[in-house]
Amino acid sequence: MKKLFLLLIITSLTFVSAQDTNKKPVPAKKTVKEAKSSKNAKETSSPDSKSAEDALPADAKSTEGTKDALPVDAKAATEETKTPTPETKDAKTTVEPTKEAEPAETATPVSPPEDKNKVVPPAFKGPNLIHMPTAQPLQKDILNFSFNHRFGDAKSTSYDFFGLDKGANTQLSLDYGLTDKLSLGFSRVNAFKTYEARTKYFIMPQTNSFPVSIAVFGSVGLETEKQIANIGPYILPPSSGYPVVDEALKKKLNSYELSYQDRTSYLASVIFSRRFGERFSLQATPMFVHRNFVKPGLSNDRAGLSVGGKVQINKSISFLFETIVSNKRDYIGENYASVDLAGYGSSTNLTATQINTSYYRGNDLAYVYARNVLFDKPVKYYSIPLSFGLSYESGGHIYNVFVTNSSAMAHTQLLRGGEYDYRNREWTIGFNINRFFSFAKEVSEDNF
Amino acid sequence: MKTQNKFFGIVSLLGFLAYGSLSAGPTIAESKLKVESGKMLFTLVKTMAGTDSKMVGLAKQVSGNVDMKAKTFDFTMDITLDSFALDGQYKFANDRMHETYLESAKFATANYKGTILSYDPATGKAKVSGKMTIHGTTKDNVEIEGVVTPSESGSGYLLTAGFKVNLNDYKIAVPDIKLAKVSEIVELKIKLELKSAK
Repeated sequence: MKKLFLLLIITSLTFVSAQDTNKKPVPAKKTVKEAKSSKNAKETSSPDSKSAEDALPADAKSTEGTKDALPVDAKAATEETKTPTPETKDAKTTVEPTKEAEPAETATPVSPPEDKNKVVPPAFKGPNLIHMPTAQPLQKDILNFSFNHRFGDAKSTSYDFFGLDKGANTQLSLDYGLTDKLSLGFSRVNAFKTYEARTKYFIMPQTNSFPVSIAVFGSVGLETEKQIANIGPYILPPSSGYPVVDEALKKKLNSYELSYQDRTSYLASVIFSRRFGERFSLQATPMFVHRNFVKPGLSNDRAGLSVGGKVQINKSISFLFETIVSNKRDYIGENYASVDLAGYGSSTNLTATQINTSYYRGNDLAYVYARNVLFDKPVKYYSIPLSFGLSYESGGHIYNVFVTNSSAMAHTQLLRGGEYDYRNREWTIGFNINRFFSFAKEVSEDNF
Repeated sequence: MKTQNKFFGIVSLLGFLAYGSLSAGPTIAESKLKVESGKMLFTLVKTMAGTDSKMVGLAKQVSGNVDMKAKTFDFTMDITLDSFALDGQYKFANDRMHETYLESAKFATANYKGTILSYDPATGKAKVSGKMTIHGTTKDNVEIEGVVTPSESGSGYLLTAGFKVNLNDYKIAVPDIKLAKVSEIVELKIKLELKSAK
């Protein structure tokens, strides 16, 4: 998979460099050509407007063709070199014919200098890629309603109808452009019943002299689903004689219910996107996530990097890909991978943490050895999210349909990793639908 | 819908003409004028489920020169994203308009270069004929009629004109949307502040 991805990047980069060299027309030549053709056109069309031109001064008629034929720069130059003529009250009065415009025709036209501050068209059209947002801001007074799905595991293919039978993780979100650069949004995700508030601020666009568009994106996620964490070592309190009290006490002593504070997480990211030529765009998003509560053995803080891109296939359809790499992802299971100890007369599963830290001490040494060493399996982690698919856009909608191995949608949950592993032929289908509504004031036609 | 478009155009044109005939036009003393500031409003009609909605946009970066002596008029509009933008209820389609239809990265400017056929100082009516280049395609003998009035500031002139452009003439694809039809005729209105070039 890594090789495939590398290959993809390399091929796309070579494609882009080839395109860049193919680009760059010679504007100077074009203007000359255009000028010539326009000159011809003028000459052929002149009889039609002959009567109207009667009122024109003679010099205007004679120099008109040449004036028009000149590119803007050269023309400006000729106008500068022109000797000032006395102003006339009435434009219709004839003036002595002059020949000032003549020398300029021999002058070689200079191509207009490339505007360094000219903004390059946006790298991505929508405000969202597959997992992370793009640098492209939501314009002022535009509401983006997005409706995103990640279906279940499609490993069994047609039996589960590619995962659609297994239910989906759904996200409904609204983002609104407060200004042309700043947007605020709110979303709800099924997984962990998460609410998310997010904001994006567009810092600067890619221009002819500045290589990337930059935006910052931040979000706060709140998981409202009740979550109980088991805490070890397991404590068995002496019986009080009342089973209800015993149960409650055991629960209190051995588990911890996460508070709202614990279930809150934060994300900060900087989005760099660049458009290479007409068809290819790339985006890199370094991000940092802080979770107030994590599973044992993990750090609350985690950094990651999302890399995504787009290859435009035709005017409406493009190929998208995105991956999120981080130095660490979450391990699978509530704690470290549980160990089946059925052969040792115990039905309780111990976590690797407990085994590794010798929390459970057996009565005989062989038992302890078996639990601590023999069954100490390597911990399984979630996979690196890697998604690819197609995007179709019309003016008001953007539809992305893709294959992914991560069903996480709340931005602060993305760095946990993907639930599905391509190596085990696990994957899922996802889609993002963006629908835009504009609340912008229309320019008045009468008084614009 | 086309008839409606024409109707709008005629009404707006009549409006301009009426406005022009009421107020006497100025006598242009300067031989050379340049566009100090200008705006261009464009309107496209989209019909969906029997109801018309207008896609309205505005261009702000326009430049131009008028040479009364040589009787030339040229007008250039920069069609980068900022200066020529959809507004109102279709604002979100702006990027797509530029990238898919106008191809603004390739064809960054649209211009019009013409000859002043007539200018009547009594009414302020002016008629220009020339070639219009949009989307890299040039069309000859495009006539534009406008009205020149003294500007409010008093030091210059205000030129207003309304004309129509058929997208097919300039090889601009007309948006092909299911369930909706977008008119290939774009109505354009310009308002230019002319000041002496000196």
